[in-house]
Amino acid sequence: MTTVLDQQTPSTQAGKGRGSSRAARGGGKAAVRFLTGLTPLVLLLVIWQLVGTYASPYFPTPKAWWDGVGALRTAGQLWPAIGYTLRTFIIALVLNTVIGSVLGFLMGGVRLADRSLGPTTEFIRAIPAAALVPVLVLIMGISETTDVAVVVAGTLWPVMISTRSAMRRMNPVLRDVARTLRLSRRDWLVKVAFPALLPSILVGIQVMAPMTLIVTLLVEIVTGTSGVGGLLSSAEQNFMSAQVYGLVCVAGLIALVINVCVHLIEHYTSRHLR
Amino acid sequence: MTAVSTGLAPAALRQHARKVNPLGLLTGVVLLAVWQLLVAVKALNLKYLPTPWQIITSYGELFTGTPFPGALGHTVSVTLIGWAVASAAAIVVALLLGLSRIAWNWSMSSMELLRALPAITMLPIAVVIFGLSSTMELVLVMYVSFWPVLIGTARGIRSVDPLLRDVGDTLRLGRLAVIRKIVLPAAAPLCVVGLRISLTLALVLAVVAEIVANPAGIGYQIAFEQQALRPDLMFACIFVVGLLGIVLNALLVLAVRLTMPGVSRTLEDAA
Repeated sequence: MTTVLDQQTPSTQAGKGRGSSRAARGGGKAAVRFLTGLTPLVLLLVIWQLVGTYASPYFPTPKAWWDGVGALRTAGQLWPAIGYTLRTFIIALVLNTVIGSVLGFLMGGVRLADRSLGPTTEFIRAIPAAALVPVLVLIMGISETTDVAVVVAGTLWPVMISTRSAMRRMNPVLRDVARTLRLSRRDWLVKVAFPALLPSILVGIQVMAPMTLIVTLLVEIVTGTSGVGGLLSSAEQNFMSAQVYGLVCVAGLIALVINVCVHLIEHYTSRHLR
Repeated sequence: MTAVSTGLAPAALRQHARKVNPLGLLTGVVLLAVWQLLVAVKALNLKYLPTPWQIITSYGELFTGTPFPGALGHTVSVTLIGWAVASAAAIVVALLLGLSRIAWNWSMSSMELLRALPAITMLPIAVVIFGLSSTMELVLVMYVSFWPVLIGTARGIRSVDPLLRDVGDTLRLGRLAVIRKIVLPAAAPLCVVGLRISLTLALVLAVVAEIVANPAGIGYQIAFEQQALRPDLMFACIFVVGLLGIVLNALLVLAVRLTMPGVSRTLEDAA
């Protein structure tokens, strides 16, 4: 971390002011376009509210969605569920990042490892995580460990693949430098390889984060016990359609926040690390 | 890619020859053997964990059992029909969006927002509206297949080089001819990427809908074997689903290579 990143800090500090003012001007235009683009969706919701019936079993009005989620909040179920979902998501995200980048590092750097692990990982990657839920529930029981295991098995791959290809493309000079400077293996890993691979690991995380949320919700919907997905599936089974719509909006908001975070990371890394 | 220009069959053969990887296969077999051994000596003491050998032998039972061929057919047909219908619709909508700047500006962020909704959360809504039925499964498959194709194709159309459109004007091509001869071929690579993503998603969502709600297809069989406490048959079904994903994807790639060689070349260059 220290060497490469420290060298970059002065220039990035200087670049910050210019970049942000330009971004603000471009951002204004983009914001206007974003808002005009929202018109059809907003119109749809408004018409729905005006024309629909409040307690329709199929298409309840947006006001009913709001009340449905409000009822969950006053019952004290909403926030714990969101917390549970986010916790599973974050644990899986961290595990994916660590396992994925280590595997990718090995498979990209050592040809023998790539050849021997390749087919097995390809095979596991082809299995949809969703199909694994019932069998892992049978074997391991319903628990947070099961949830995390399924999510990781399904979403490990973007980080692994992007780290592997970055390792393959790594400039040979970066390998020679270790010999020239007589770096220990550990120093080379920490000071050369890791900073060089970091942008690619981050690209992998950007792809993986939305997938991880989807699979987290999926596991919760299939097991139907905990988190936002659990609330959704119990609302569906009790024919509380307004709550179903409302919870879908909640899940959408979580996804949106995560997407925004991912974009911020992307923005930051493209300016500071490349 | 010189291989492509020499014709399909030799290129494909050579690629497959390169893909045979004895070391990798050996590792897979060794891992399975370790799994077998760990369960056999009870080092992995989980009540319902089957051994690989049990899974392999259960295929005999799976294929002779009555529900399986029908279940496989159900899942495949729902996946393919839903995917094809939704993709066709998505390409038409993308043409409208991509060719009209007004339509693009006034709707694209709605599309992006809807697409960002995790597709899986649409499952409960589909169940609320359509009940526990194959209609529900089909609608869900269509919903998830729609977005990647729409976004991919629309981006592809927007990325058409303006110079190419000028060429169309210069040659006095009509609007339809411009679409057919210039816009669609230029948008094809991104469209194919969208088609591949949505085919994978379609299969996954079909299986999920079957596991959770619709009593038909492979997904239901997985859920059924869970009730029957037959993890070996569950694994057998899961591997079939994984294989099905690979086969469907390979067929799509093959179809693209046969019908649009130029597109598959750009895709391979990109990869």
